[in-house]
Amino acid sequence: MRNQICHSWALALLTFLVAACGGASGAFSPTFPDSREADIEHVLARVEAAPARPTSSISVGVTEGASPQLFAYDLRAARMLWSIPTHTAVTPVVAGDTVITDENRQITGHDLRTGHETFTLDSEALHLVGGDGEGRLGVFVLSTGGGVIASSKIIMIDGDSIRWTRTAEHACGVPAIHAGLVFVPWGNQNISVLDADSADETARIRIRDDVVGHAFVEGTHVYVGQAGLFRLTPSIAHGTKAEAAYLAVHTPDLPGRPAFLPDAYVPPANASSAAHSVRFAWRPTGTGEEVHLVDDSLYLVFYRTVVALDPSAENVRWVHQSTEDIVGASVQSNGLLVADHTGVLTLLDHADGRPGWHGNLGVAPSSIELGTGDLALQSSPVGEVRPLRDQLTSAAEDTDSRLVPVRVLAVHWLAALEDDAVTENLVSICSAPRVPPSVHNAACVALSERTRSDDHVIAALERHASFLQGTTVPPVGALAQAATRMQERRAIPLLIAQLRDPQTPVEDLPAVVNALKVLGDRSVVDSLEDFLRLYHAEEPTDALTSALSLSVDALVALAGPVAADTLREIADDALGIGQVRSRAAAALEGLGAVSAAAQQADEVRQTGVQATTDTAEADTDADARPEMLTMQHVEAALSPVMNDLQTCMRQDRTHPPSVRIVIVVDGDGVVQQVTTQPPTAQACITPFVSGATFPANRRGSRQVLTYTLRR
Amino acid sequence: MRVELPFSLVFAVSLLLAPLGAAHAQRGVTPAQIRTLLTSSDVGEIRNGIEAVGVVGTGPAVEPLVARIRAGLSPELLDLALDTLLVASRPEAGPVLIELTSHRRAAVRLKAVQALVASHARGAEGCLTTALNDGDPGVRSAAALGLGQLNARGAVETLFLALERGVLEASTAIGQLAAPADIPRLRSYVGRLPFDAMTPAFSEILARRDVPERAKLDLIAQLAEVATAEVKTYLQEFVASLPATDHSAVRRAAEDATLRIVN
Repeated sequence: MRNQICHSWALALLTFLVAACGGASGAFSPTFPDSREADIEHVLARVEAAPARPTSSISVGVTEGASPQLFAYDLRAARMLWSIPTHTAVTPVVAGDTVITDENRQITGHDLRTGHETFTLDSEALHLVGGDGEGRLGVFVLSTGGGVIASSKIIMIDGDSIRWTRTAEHACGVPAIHAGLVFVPWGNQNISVLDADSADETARIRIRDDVVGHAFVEGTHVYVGQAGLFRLTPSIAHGTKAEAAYLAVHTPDLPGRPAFLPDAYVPPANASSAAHSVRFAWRPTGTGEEVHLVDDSLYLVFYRTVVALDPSAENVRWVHQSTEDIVGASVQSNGLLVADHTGVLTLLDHADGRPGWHGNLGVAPSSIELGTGDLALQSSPVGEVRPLRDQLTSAAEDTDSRLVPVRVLAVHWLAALEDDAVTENLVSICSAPRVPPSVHNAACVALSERTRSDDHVIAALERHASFLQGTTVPPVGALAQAATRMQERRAIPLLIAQLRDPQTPVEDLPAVVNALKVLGDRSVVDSLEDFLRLYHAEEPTDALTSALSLSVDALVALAGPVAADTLREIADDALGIGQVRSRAAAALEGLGAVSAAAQQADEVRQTGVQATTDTAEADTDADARPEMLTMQHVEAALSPVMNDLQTCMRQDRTHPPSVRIVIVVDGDGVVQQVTTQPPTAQACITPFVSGATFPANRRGSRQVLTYTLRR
Repeated sequence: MRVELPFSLVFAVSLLLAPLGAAHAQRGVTPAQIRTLLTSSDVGEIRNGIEAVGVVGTGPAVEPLVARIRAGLSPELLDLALDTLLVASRPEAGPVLIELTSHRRAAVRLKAVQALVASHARGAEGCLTTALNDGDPGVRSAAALGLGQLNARGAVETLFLALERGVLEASTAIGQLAAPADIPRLRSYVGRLPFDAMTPAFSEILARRDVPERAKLDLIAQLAEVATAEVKTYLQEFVASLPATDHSAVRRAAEDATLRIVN
């Protein structure tokens, strides 16, 4: 039956009723006492006594296009119930047996099963906030939304008639109805409980440390919340999250800021808004003071991507990538039921996200509410369960530009997995061409922060760009940083090869040089010197200058005084990059200071040794070994081969004015290593120096001795 | 094999060096003097030293320049040094040129490849084969042409791969290096690659004295089967390029083919 209240007499009657009822009950009065335990207990007693809300498989949605349609589809019967033209501004509200739309300032009720219009009324420029219903009874709220001068209407319907209307000089949120009671959140912190028959306020709850904008019913429980979730239990009288039955939920920061529950105090998103494709889906459960989410899962819907998260949003269970945008989602006991914008319905398995039950609406919705409660759809998931890291990698590599924010999140979630193989995935994303900068950066940073040694970093560093083989340069900078954190010395030769490869991006070179400095030893010095010499006079760029300056530091760290000649060449070369020359000059000064200190210490030691030796010799047959070797010992040891060394120097093709020889001698006087500067003299000089006889030292210490051979 | 240097480059360098070269030559500049110039911190002296190397052009003169390159030069001087080594064409420069084929600047790598080809240095073939992988198309092209000039028969397989990947200059090199058995494979690229890119290879093969006449006739026959207008034009131009005194079977085959192609 159609009840057309838009006739003038009916409007007059409605106005009268509003005035009469609204004023008399004291609902929303500022003097009404809140959080009285007795009131709340009374409310809870009625809630507990009421039967659980029945489920409904009737889904209501809106299609897009030139002739948008409002439709109702029965999921269990797999049948379109009705479809009518609509111009609803916002997603229709299902309030029990009534579907409420907001079209051109006109609020219209439609019978859920037939679509027949049951009432219309002027919205009076208020927007439809939301509603709820059980069978014939329904309640919905019209409101101006938040602000200082706010007003709202709470309208109770009974079948095809308006039972009562209440006004409130506050912004009201989404109401719920259960056990003959209407729960109306308002003013961010209050929930007024009205009697569904009389509209009298019977209880008021005040939440002191959280916002409440929504009330809803799940099973036999009433919940309120917005950023988090309260279940109405006696503890709600305390009015705090800590003392009430409360679930804190953390949602990732995403564009459009999809919330756990939409802000009920701002105008709702229109029917074709992307908000229907960027949202969270969940269903509360638990008993007593425990509030949980079904399967402990918070589902993030982001256009084509669905992510099953835990309530902390830090741990991912699975990721599903749909081929089409998802416009509706409903949590079921066995998974997440989603509807895409082509009308395809799919139940994603709660454990792994594999698709199971399928349906098809036969229309292309822009938004849809998928029934109420658990529909107990029989589902047999199909397909292979891919490792989570592969699911996240696929999500991160999705080419849909709208998905960039969730792709970045996928990289973070991927990096957080306790799986060494993740490194391989991060390498793949970090080196993939045409990846948006934010995704690329996230992957490269995550890769550079890997700390557990694994072969993937080594394998990636082995790769070089090859035109013929079709390979591309790996993310060398991030890999170098990772190798450094991993203390992965196997990377040393690979890093040298990357340093020499012109196709290694110059931006990656500082990280490569730094890694060589941290991981390297004498074996990398020649490569660093070659690099420094070859490029120190090149056209400077920030990255190249940085890499060259770091090379100076690395040479000092790895070669010590042996690097002095090279550094002097760089510092003295007028063609060189100023910043690099300065760095080399500063390094030389530092080396000079160290050498002077060492020489002084040597002299002191030598004096002490001499004094000790004198004393010892005077007393007994003293130990003839020196405490430590000095330059005199070196000269004495090299004296027999001095002519050979001079010949080596004269015949050196670089004609050096002098040759610096660095000799590593162990505690027994055995020469362990000889290096020369210039290196061209090394082959000739080394055999002579290695064959020289050095005394052992009393400390048994390994010494590094420097001797300068001059013409 | 005679090395073909870019004429404009040789001309420019010769002009640049001629007056200085004469001056140095008059002074009888020695490698020691060159070394002194090259180890200077004055840009002008270094430049003079590099130019002197070009004038003297001997192995001992090249060595100080090699050392100076390894010690580092500004981009401008390094370019000049490479131009000089290109003109000098000394095998002594081979090792440093090989090192410079891995320089970060593509222009340096290109000059190094060209100078390496000119110097016929040991190891050049392997280095140029590697340079076919270079990220810069100019370097790849120069490497491909260089392999042909160096008669690097061992690089044919890699040149085919380069050709497949779009290094069209590999066509010329393959034409210079291919064995008769490789010719059918070369012909198989007709249709897959622009015909213009293939004609240098065919021209090289048809001009080579070490390719049996039978192989050339087979090539012409295979081209005639393609029978496109551009094949006809190519064969007409080939015939026109032959001396009037040439009455070879290859010429007759090419003439017959042009008549048979109706396009």
